[in-house]
Amino acid sequence: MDGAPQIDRRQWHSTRRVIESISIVALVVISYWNISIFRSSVFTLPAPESNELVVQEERYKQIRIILAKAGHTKGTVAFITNRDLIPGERKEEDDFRWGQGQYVMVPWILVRNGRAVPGVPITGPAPEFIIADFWDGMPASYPKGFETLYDSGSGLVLLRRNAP
Amino acid sequence: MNLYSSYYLVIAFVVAACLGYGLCVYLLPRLWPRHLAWVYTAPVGFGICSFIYVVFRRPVFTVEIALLILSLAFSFQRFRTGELARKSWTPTLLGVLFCGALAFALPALLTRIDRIPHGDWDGWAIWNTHARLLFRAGPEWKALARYTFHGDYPELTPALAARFWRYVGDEVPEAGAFAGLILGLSAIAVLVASLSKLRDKRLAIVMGLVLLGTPKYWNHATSQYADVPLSAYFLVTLSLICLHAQSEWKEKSILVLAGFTAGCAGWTKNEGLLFIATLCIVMSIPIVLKRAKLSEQLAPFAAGLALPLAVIIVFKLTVPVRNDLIENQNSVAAVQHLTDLSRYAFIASYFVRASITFGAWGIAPFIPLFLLIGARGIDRQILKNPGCRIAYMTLALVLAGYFVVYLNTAQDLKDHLDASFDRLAIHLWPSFLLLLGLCAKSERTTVAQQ
Repeated sequence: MDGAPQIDRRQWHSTRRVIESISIVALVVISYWNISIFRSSVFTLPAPESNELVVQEERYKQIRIILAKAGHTKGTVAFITNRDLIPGERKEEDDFRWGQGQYVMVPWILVRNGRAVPGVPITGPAPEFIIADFWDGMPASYPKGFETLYDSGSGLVLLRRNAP
Repeated sequence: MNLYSSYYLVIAFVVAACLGYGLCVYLLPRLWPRHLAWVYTAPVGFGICSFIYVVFRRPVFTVEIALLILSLAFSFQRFRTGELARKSWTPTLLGVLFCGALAFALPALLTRIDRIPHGDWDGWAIWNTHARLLFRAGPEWKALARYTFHGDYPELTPALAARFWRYVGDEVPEAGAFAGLILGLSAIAVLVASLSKLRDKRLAIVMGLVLLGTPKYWNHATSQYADVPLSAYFLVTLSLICLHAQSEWKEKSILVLAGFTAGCAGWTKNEGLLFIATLCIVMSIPIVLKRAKLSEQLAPFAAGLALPLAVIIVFKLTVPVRNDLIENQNSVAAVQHLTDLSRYAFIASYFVRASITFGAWGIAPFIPLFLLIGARGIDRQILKNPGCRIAYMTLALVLAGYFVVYLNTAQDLKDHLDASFDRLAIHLWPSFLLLLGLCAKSERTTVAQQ
């Protein structure tokens, strides 16, 4: 009398075992497949030398040294781009460059239009030094009343306010 | 990064691991297998070192060496007396496949770190900038934090990177990514080891493989974002709570360690504070409803949490930066957002759609995953287990908390979801896998039923 349900139960358990085994095989294959997708996305990344921040670190290296030699080891430094010299259409790349510059220049604070990168207003006298990132071409002339301390040749310039 | 820097990075890691191991051995039950202490070593050690770095700053080496001597002496004594149980390991086919998958992924992980040495956008703009501030600015770092993006964010990962740099004596931009990678791998180890103890090895390894085969998880781990470290601390905490509930003697010291790792979560990202608050609320429920004793769960948990929480509170009080999500709020807009039903529907549908794709999988593992759990059978006893109940409720409430944050966001809703949902899903993914694994009956139970 009890034989039939017991066979059903056994069959059900063996079916379960089969489903479990198939699921495990599928999960192993899927995991390997997904790792291979991750691998292919990684191996197509450009070499570290062409990484934007590695390039920026190199561009800013001399500026950090010059500022330190000038005794300006902390505090604010102004940051400008071509749009700050000749007002024109706002470019996102300017903000991006400003953010990158801030990362490289910590603990100096790069001030643009009276604000730090997160938008915090900076009060006090105008900074003595200006970092100009003319990433989209050199301007015809620099701001008046400043001397050029460093020109990277790649559009990055360090200026210092002339003594009054 | 050169060979010289790598040596010092390894030394810094070994010191952190020894400190972590010492604390784990001290707090975890003596009869537990040794590998269970090992898997918690890196997250716990990194947490300890991060707090030491921010609290002590200059005499960091002195403090670490003093603690290292204590930790080594204690661990040696435990080894000598043979108090830590050894467990033999016999390789299975699944185990070999798991190791193969790890070996398959590892070169890509190291290459990604090499190709993006400063990390992705948030990695350098937030976390590495904070690390540079800690390393370069001296005691003024707190005042300068407001001039960086999200200066209010907690400092576990930046402090870890800065600590690595102190050991090397120079800034190695990849250091943060190594910390992320180690914590990401630790989470897999914790997932496998705890499921292996609470269920069985087969299920544990399969769950580990699913986590290992999540491309987005590895993208974030190597991008110097704090999301994978946070997910690791969520998992470590919940696994310790579940292990405590199933341990024979209900050793309260396990909950002390869980409190500490929950504190580490709060010290990693602001979302960790939501996790802490949720855990405290959930642990208080039995006290309120069933008049359970405070000393049963909440008190030991709070004891472990106390020190990290004190550091977080001091940090939040002394770094004068308000969170952008709070600062951009106003009560009129908040009421409008909370009463707008279309926002609820939009977020819910986004959650459902993105839950299937957040891992950037080539093939999503959900169908075989649920089939596996279904084939094993659901363990109904799980809801009677107090530890597992806490873990399930915490995960659900943290998810609900994320939902409310989106509901009330001052940013454009779709933009906010697009920019952050995948990272929030990564926070919960390893813990979800743990809890999903706990739903299934163990192999032993299934065989016994046959």
